[in-house]
Amino acid sequence: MISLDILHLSKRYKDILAINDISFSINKGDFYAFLGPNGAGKSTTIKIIAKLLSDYEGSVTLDNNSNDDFIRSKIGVVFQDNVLDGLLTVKENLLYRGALYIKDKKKLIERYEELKEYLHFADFENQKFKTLSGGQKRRVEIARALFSNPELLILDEPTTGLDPETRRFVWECINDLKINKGLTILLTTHYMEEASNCDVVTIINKGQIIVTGTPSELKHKYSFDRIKIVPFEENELEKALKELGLSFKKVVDEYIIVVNSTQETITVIKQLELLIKQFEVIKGNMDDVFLNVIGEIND
Amino acid sequence: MTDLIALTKRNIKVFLRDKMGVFFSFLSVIIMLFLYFAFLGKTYSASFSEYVSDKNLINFLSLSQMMGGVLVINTLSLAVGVSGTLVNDQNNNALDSLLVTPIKRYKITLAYYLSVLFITYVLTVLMWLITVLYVGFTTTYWYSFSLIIIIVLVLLLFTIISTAIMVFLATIIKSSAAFGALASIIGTVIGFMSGIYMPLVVLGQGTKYVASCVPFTHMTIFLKGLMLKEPLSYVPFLSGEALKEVRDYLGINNIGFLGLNVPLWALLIGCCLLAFGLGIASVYIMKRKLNK
Repeated sequence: MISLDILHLSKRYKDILAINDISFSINKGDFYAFLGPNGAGKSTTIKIIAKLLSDYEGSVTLDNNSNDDFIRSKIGVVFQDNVLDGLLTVKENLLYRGALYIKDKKKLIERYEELKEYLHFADFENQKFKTLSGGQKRRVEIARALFSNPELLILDEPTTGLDPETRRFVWECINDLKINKGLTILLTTHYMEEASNCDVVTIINKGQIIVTGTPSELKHKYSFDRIKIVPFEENELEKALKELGLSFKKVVDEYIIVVNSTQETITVIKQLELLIKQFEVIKGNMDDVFLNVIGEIND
Repeated sequence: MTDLIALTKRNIKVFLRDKMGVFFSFLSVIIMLFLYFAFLGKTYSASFSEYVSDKNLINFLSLSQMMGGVLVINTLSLAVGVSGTLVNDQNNNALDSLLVTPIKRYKITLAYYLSVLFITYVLTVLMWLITVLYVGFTTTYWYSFSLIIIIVLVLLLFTIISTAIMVFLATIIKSSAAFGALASIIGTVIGFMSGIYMPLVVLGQGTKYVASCVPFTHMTIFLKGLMLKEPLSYVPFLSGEALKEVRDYLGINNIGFLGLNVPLWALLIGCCLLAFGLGIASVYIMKRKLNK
């Protein structure tokens, strides 16, 4: 396992400062999520870490080693788009890419066989890549990224545009890599619920890190639980809410009340229990965190 | 070395599996062969019949003069077709997936060169050998073994020059669509400009000046000259002014450079130097691209 340290990273594209002096560390075995709106600087940061960009300020070190070849030999990258060759078979694609990491032909084949078993693509290994389904393609792309047996796996929006079943498969795979293989994982995603599975979440906007924390820390600070109530009598509930000083939003026949804590939720339910026909408590989620954090900055 | 070979093989397969891409790489050659068998061949045959009565010899002359041009066109249209892999890789991020691996940057560039060189050379030599057999069986005239070998070597030099020029173009053109369009037409354009479709003698002086700036013109003159040496030696009583006239018509007389009387060997050395310069420029451009 390996740790990544980013120190005072800045990257400028002519007049645009894409990354503005960011620093963060990913501990060995951590599952680290990098969130941000489009143009926030996520992809630029990922490209710098993956050694696709070299003209930047600051430092990127893996286990205190900043050598490009060392870093490249220790990372695997799953890109947002499929990058394998459509006209080559799965096997050809992976063996040609694998040969860029493993020089010995016997070891190369052994690694290919391991990945074939692990990611279950034996059934379509001789099929041309372009004929595969979206899910099968993703599986092969993950195999490509894992060929070097990386210690840091970078996932750049790996589930964007995938159907729910394929997303579930990708996530099972990611979780297995983290738990059973102990990989350090850096993820960028647009799906906030995916970020809530991570150990640490960083939100970046306009090239700067805005917040960092565990999902529960961020949810505690930036999201709110809500109670949805369907009353027996709307007028009576509205009157009671005003008397309690609770603000609410009405959506069709539901009243939505924002609460700050679990204790407050219990108190409100108890106070209104005779007026409630149905109720539901909705926990604050990473969507709230993202919208509140980015909203605060934009305000 | 394993990584370089793997990447070169990958580039070769990516090109060869694209049937339409391969077809369009041969488009200029197909156009040329169509024009020849439709009417150019008859025109040439009619002209040769002034000097020669043997129909087989007439065909030997016509085919040799045409195939000299076709082989040159082949080196450039195939080279541009295979170079398209480089442009596509840049556009669909496949290049990024290579750059995140530990392979040395120069090997990525070298693999593109080697794949272009390999496919272009193998297929061009194959075309030359088919030509030898076709000419031999249809005319009963056979090229000498030494000429066959000399042309195999000359084609290697021409492939290197074409590869250097086309890979250079691939490094400066960013769009796949633009490069695809270039690949489809470049053979035809060069075919006209370099006197491959029709002899430069029938075109104006201005065109001749422009043609003299294109390396493929001199390459064609040289190759046609080699291929026609043996057929012309069989033509009786051809010497002096008549021979010069025939050589002009066949497009194998040196046209110099911009009206200056420069020997053909010097012009060919110039082509090699240009190829070397463009090769260096491509490596420099690729290095900049790969180290953004």
